[in-house]
Amino acid sequence: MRIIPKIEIKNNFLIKGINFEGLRKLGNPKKFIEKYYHDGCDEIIISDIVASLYGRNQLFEFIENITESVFIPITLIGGLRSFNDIDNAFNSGADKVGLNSAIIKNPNFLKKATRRYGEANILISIETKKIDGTWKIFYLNGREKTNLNLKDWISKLSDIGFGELLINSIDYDGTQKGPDIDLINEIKSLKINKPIIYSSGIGRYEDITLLNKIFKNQAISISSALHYKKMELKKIYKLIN
Amino acid sequence: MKIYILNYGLGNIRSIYNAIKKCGYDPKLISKDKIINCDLLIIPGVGSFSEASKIINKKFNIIKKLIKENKIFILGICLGMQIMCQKSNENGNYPGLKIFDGEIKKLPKNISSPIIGWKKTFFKNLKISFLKKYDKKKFYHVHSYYLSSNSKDIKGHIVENRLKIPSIIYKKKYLGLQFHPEKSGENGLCILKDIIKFIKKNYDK
Repeated sequence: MRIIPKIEIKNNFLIKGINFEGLRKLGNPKKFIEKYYHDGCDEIIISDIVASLYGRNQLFEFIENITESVFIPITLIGGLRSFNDIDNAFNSGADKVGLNSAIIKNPNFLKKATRRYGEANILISIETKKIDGTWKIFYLNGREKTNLNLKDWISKLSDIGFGELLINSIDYDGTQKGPDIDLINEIKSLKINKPIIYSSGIGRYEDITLLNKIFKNQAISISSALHYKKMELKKIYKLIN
Repeated sequence: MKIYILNYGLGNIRSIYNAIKKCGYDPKLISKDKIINCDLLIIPGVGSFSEASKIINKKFNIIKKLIKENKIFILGICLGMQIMCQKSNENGNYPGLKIFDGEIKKLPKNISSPIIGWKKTFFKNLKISFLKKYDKKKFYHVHSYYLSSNSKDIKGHIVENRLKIPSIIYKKKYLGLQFHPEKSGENGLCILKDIIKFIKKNYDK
């Protein structure tokens, strides 16, 4: 199981909220990333959480700086909406890019991007929440709701092609109360033939043991539990190896 | 030791640049079709074979010339390795640099695609024997197309669903790595250092 710390950045600070809201500043993101790298994490996801909202990307320089000392895969998410943005991401040292808002507005952009950059390096970030029994798709960090439902959206994305899926449960994000089992079961029932990264709610070592059983060979992304030192990567790897 | 990195608009250029720097060398990026006077040319690659083929065939005739003259050592990484082979059917039919035999094809249906993650990599008997110490070490792979070939130039592989997927191809002055050494932590940096040392020892002008 791949373990991928997720670093959410706003105005140069590592931040973390609960249910994507009530953001708290936690410090210099570089320090956190270097620690996770030295502790042996598989990859890092870096998310610019205001890029889509403000329509600008601010993290290219930051990525350039990070990749001078961190030599594992870095996925950049947030506000990437043109070839120019994606070129900048790769040129600054990112290895994969994550798309969400841009393809909700324009699914054709995904098609064009996979043709140019290959499927393997394109990650799709999904923010979802169950409303009246249906998993609805959101964007802008849970701010904006769409009419899309999870099943149809994933089926549409699969027809176009992509590398991997990052699944965020809006109700569980930042809560550390354990993974959203209901959502994981839904994802498993969709039988997606792609690597999946589950994110949201992971906060205890027993969550890791459980996910390693029910979500074997997939990946998990952890943020607040690592940032607040509630969990240690070295102990996590002991549990799954 | 002069190291050039081909900047053809498709690649995690900064990552490989930083990794080579970390190894103690001072690489240059080249983005123009001009005489390349170096000891090692690195072809990186994050992208689709079709785009890479179009760009290299249109804009970098110098590379084919260098291969014909067998002048410099070329290291291809990921898509850069794939482009060193005959051809690919990614988004149509596109020619590669034809250094190695074999075609680049979509991963077979019984393998979860893309292959993503740190994979135990098996190194065969290599003439570059220093690479043997990396046998069974983990390197970071990310690809949805693979080299389909039985060529004797295949010097290493990973195993996915009992199928061997080539990870290393090597002959003469050409080395291709399907994995990303620049993204494989300490092992990755070490293997890059060892490759450069090998070239320096054997081919430095």
